[in-house]
Amino acid sequence: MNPTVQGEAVVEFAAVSKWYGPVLGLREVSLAVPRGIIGLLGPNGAGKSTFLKVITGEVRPSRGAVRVFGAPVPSRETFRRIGYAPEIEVFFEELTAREFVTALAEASGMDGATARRRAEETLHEVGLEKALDRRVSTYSKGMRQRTKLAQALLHDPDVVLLDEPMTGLDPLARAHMVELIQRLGARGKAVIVSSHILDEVETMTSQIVVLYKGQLLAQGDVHAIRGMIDRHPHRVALTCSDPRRLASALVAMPSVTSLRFAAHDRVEFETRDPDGCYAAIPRLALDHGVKVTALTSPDDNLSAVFHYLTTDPRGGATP
Amino acid sequence: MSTLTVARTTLLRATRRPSTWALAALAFFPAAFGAAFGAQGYGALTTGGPLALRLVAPLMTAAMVAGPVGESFENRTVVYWFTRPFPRAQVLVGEALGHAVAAVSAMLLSGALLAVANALTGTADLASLARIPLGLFAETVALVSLAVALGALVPKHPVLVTLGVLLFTEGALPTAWEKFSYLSLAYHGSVLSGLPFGFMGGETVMSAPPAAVSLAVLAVYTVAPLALASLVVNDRDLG
Repeated sequence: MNPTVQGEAVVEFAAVSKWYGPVLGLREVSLAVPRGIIGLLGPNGAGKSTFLKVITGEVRPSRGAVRVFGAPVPSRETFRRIGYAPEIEVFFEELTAREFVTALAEASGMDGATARRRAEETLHEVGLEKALDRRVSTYSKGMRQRTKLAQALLHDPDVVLLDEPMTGLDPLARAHMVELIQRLGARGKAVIVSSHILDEVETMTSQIVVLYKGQLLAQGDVHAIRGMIDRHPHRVALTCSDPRRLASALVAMPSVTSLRFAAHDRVEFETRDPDGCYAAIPRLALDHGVKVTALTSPDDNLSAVFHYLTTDPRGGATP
Repeated sequence: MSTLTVARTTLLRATRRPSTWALAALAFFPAAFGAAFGAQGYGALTTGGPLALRLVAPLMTAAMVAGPVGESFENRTVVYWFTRPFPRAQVLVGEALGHAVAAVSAMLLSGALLAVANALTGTADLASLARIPLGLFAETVALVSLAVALGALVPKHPVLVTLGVLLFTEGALPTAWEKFSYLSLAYHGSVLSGLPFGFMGGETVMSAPPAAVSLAVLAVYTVAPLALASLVVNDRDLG
């Protein structure tokens, strides 16, 4: 399932498979990741972490190849262009955030003065300016996530990989993290965010990659993907002055498969032809003298797409 | 440059771990032991020397070095180094350098104190004030390298495995057959430092090899485990 992917491919997977003994991590995954923010979704065990680890060279594919800007992974060139925030919550606990990030900056090839300056800049950027010189062991979960992000950004990479960056964050910290990620995307970087928290991913991007049991289920715009999932009719909700009168007209439409009254002023129906219904509703409302105050599609969103794709992954879209 | 960064960071972390200081305190035991027995007329070096060579140095190094290295692989914090643009082997060398500074500092102090204890309780030997610490230095560097390698290769139980290997090379082998002492790090440390290998003057009737040979053996023990670990770690999956 591959709606149009926009832009130059930054990360390319060519038939990548990865086994951990008898356990399958990834299976024949082929895709091209462009610049911008990409949400990497999937239930536990889907292969999201393996997907990111293969890009960083932490694990080697059993088959296939991964390239970053055309260069094979791993290599010095790709390490210079990749920033990675792993899902682990442990650091060099004995060090302060400043010391930790400075050491990694030096290890990235910067001289001492530049490393210290960049460390301070990135720690400021992630909002840790007041805690630079505290030991990481004293940090909260949110501060740790931000420290991870800082060390991933200090060499200004073109590709930023974030493995579950929202884990353990309170709502305020999550909002701050979302804002940071949006800024990275706006700067033209390729940001791949692995997450279970679909609401947050939806606020960041509509471009998603969905993995399930190591396989690529879908890649592209979430709305386009939704449009291709024919076996699940679209749900449409109408808030209006006389739902029963409007319902009698909707039932007569051949594409409407079911209908229910969700509230005294709200009718929900399922249709195989959402665009046709959207076009017909104004005429139906006018003909029956019904005032429509709201029209929404409760499942034209990431949660629904994710649910439809992963609860019954066989087959996918009808060609 | 990156190797030195890793080494500096490793040393800084080691100095901030309370366990490092607790283990380094073991370095005082040989001198204290030697002084106590030396005062009784048994000779500070014949008691404190083997204690430093065959017990304190291996035990301290295994716990101080193999443990943290293994932990960094087990909890994957080593990924912060491995995703930087330099070879994984340089990380291991950097770790060995950083840990070596900490461990060697403790054993140099131990050697110096032992020499002082010997001078105070027995025959004053100015040459031993240099030989003993240098011999312990060479042995400890080799022990650190072995511990880093084993910590990287067997991260689940690094201290146990390191102690097991050392028990074999330093204890079981020399006991089984005297000539197996040539495989013992402590034996070559004793040749370089001039300290007796056997406790209370026992063991080792075979003639000691030249110092250059012992130095070469310890050099092999320093380089070979790290080289092997680098080869394995270079291609091994981290997660």
